[in-house]
Amino acid sequence: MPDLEQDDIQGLVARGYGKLPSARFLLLQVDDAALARRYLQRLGTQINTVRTSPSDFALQVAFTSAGLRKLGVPDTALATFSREFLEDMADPVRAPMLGDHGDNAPDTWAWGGPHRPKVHALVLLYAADEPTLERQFAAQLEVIAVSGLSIVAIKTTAALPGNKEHFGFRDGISAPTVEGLARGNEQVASERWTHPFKSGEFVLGYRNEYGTYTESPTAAPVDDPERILPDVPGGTRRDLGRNGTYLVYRELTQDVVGFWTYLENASREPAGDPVARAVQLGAKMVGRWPGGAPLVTSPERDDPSQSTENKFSFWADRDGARCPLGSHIRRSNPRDQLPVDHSQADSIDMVRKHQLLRRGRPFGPPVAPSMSPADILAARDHASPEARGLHFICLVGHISRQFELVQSAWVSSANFAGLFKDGDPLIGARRPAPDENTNDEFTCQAHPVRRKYKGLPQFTRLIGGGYFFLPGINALRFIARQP
Amino acid sequence: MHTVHAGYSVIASLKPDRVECARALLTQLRADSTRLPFAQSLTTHFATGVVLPAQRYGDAELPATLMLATSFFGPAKAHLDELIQVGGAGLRELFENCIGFPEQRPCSDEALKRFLKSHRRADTFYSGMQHVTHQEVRGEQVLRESIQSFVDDQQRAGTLATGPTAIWRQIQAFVMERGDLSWARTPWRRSFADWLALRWRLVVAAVPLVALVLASIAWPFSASTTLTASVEVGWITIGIVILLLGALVLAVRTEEKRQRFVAGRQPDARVRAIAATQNQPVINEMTIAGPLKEGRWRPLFLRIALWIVAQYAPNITIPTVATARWLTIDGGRRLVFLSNFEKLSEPYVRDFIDIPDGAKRINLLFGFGRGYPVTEWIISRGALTDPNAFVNVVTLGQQLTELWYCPYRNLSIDNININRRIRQGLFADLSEAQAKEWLQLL
Repeated sequence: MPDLEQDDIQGLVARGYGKLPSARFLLLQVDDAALARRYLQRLGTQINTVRTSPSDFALQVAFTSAGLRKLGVPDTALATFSREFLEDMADPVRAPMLGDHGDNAPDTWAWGGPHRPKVHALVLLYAADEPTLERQFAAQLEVIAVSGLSIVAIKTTAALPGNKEHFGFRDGISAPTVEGLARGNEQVASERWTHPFKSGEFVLGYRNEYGTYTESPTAAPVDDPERILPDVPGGTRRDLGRNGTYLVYRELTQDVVGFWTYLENASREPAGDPVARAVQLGAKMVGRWPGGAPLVTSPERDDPSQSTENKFSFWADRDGARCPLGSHIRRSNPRDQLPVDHSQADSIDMVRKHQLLRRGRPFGPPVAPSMSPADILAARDHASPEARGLHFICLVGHISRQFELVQSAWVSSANFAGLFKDGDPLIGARRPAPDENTNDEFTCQAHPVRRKYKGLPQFTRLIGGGYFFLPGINALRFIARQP
Repeated sequence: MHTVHAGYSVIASLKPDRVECARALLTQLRADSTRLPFAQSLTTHFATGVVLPAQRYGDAELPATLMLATSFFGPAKAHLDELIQVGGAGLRELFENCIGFPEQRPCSDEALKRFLKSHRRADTFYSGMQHVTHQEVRGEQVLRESIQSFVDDQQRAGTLATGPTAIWRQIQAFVMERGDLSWARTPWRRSFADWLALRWRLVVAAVPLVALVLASIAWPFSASTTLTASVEVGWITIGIVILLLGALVLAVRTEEKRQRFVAGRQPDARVRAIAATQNQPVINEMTIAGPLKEGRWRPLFLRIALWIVAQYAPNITIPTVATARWLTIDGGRRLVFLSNFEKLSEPYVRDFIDIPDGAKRINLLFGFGRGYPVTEWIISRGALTDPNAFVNVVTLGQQLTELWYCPYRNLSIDNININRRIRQGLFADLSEAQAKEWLQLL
C-alpha cells in the first residue's frame, strides 16, 4: 500500500465532495500571465487537499495545456505532458476518434471548440449550501477581476434528489476505490474486479495496474532553481506530475423528455402499463433500474435494497439476457466480461487498466422534482425549457489509455460486443442511416430471441469539453512561480 | 480449392533515386483506385503498399524498400494471377521503381509474375477470419440482415413462433423461400483441403517425430539393426537439437545483457500524423518496421520463433485483429509487422500487454526490435515491466502507410465471425439447446 502524499494531492482525487452539494465551475482565460501567477500563488494556500474533508467549502484548480503555456511553463516542461493533453479533446484528429461528430462535433460547442475563446484554467468551487457558494463565488470574482484573468464561462450545477442524474437513474454508484484512499469496507472488497485500484491509475507518481509508473511531466532543474519540485526518482529532472492527475471535462445536455417519450413509444408492444414498460426499456438501456439496482442481480424489478449494489458480475450474464451487452454500464465498465473470446481473468486484467474516477455534477432543473419516470412523463408538456444535463468530469492518470479507450472502443463503437449498429443508447452520438456506420439501434438480448429498437434519437449532446491537468500543490507553486 | 487466408508479402529494394517517387505513386494509387483496383480482385481481403525507409543496423544501412502486402484466400498462384490480371499496369508502374525489375518495356505478365514471386517473402501470418472468402463476407452479411429484418417483422406482427426450435425452423423456411439466399442452404464446413493447406508444414514436421516414437516402441521387439540405428540416430539428433536450442537461448541471453538503447517518446507531430491516417470507424491498418537489436544470434532465434508461432497461429483467437503478419527482411536484420486491426493504434497496441501472458508473447515476437525495452530470457521483463517503452518502440517503427485497401468498412472481426456462425447453424442439425444458442447470435 503506497503512502500517498496527501498534503500535496488536490482533494478531488479522494472525494467528489458529496457533502458539499452546491458547486460552480469557472472556466478562465489568462490575459496577463504575471498577474495570474500571483493569483495562483494566493490560491495555492486555499486549495483543499486529500488530507482533510472540508465541511463548508472546497476549491480546486486545473489547467489546459494552452493555459500552462500562457502562464509561462517552459516549453521543455510542456513537451513532457501527454500528447492527448497537449492536443486537447477538440483536436480534429482526436474528436472523430472519440465519436464526437455530427451534433457533438467541436465546432458546435459552446466552449472548448475551435471557434471559441481558449480556456486556460478551471476553478472548481464546492460549498455546503448556496449562500456559502455565493459568498465564495463573489469573492473569487472580485479577485479574478484584478488578476489578469477573464471569465470564459461560469458553469452552475444543481444536485438532484436521490443521487440521480436527469434521466431519473441513480448515478455514481460504481466508483473505483483507490489504494491508499479507500475507506471502510471498500478495502476488503472480495471480488477481484472491484479490488481497490493501484493509486497510479489516478495519481501520477505512484505504481499503476501494470506495476510501473505512468508517464508523467517533468521540468528541467534550471527551470526550478528554488527546488519547488521533487527530483524524478533515478532521473535528472524534476517531477512536475507527481501528485497530479489529468481531468477530463465534457459538458452534456440531456434531452429528458425525448428520452422518456422514445421509451414510451418504443415499448408500446406488447400491451401493459406504459410507464412500467418504458421504465423497463430504460433500465435495459442503462443496465440499472432508476433506483440503482443492477439488472444482473435484479432483472425483473427495481429492488431498493440493491440501490447501491456494485459487486455484481457480467460473466454470469455473458449472453446479455439480463443486462444487454450494449447497455450503458456494460460499455463504460465491462467489469469481468470483455465480450467475445476473452476469459474472465483476462477481462479483469484488461478492464482494470481502463478505469475512470468520475467526479461529475448535474446542472439545470429536473423535469419533475420527484425524478420519478411517471412524473417526468406527466410533466413533459410543461417542462422548463432551461438546459439540463451533466458536467461529466473524470480523473485519469493516462487520458488515452483510460478515458479515450473507454469512449472510443467501448462507448462509441457500433460494433462493441459483436453488435453491428448499436451505439451507447444513453450518451452515444448517432450516425443515422444511410451512413454506412450507422449506430442508432439498441439490441435487447432475450430468450428465445432478441428485440431490436431502431432509429434511436440522440439523447445527449456534447456542448463543450477539454483536457485539464489537476496539479499537485507543489506543482501548482511551480506553475505560479515568477520566472 | 482451399480457402486458407494467408499473406502475400512482396519485398523489393527501391532504386535510391526513386524512393519519393514510389511514395507519391502509392499515394496516388490509393486516391485513384482504378489504377490498382484491388476491389476487382475476388481473392483479396486487405492490401497494404508502403515504403519502408532506409534504416541503420549497426554500421550497415538497410535500404529503402517497397512492400506490397496482400492478405488473400485460396492458392497463392490463383491470387497472383488475378492480381496481375486486374492490376498488372499498376503493379508494373509501382515495381519499376525497384532494383532488379525487368528492363524490358512493357514488362510482360510472365516477367512481372516472375519478379513478384521471386520477391515474395515468407511470413508468420495470423488471420482472425480464417476460411471466409470475400464473397462469403458479403453474402453472409446479407443473409444475417435478411434474417434480422424477418425476425423484426414477425415480432412486430406478433407472428414469431414460440420456442427456439420453432423460431429457428421459421427462419429456415423464410430463407428457403428466398431464391437469392439459396446458397445458404448448404451449411459451411471446413474441407480436408482447407485443413491440409493450413497444417501441412506441421504435418511434415510431425511425420519424422511420429515415426521415431513408433520406431522406439517397436525397437525392443525387433532385431533389425537398421531400426536400432535409426532410433539411436533419431534420439541423438533430437538431443543435439535441444542442446543447440539451449545454447542459442544462452547466446541470446548474453546479447540481452549488452543492450543499451531503449526507445524514448517519439515526436508528437509524427505520432499524430500516423494517427490521423488510422481514422476508420472499424478496421484500421498498421505497419511497423525496424532493425533488430544487434547481435549474431538474434536473427536466427527470431526466425525459429516465428516459424513455431506460425504453426501455432491457427489455434489462437485475437478478437480485435483481422490479420497480423511478421516477417524478417534484409537478411534477418529487419523485422516488419503489419496488421489490419480494430479501432485505434495505441489502444490496440496496449491491448496486448494488458495481460501479463500477452506481454510475454509480445516480448517473444517484438523483443528483438531495436529500442525495445530490455528483456530477460527473451520473455521476461520487456513490455511486462516497461509498457511505456513498448509503446514508444512501436511508434518509433510505425510507418505512414501510403496505400491501404479494406473493403469492410462497417464490419468488425466479431461481426464477420458471427455471420459465419449464423450461416453454419442455419441449416445444421441443431438440438433445442443448440437452436437456443444459435438464436443468441441474432
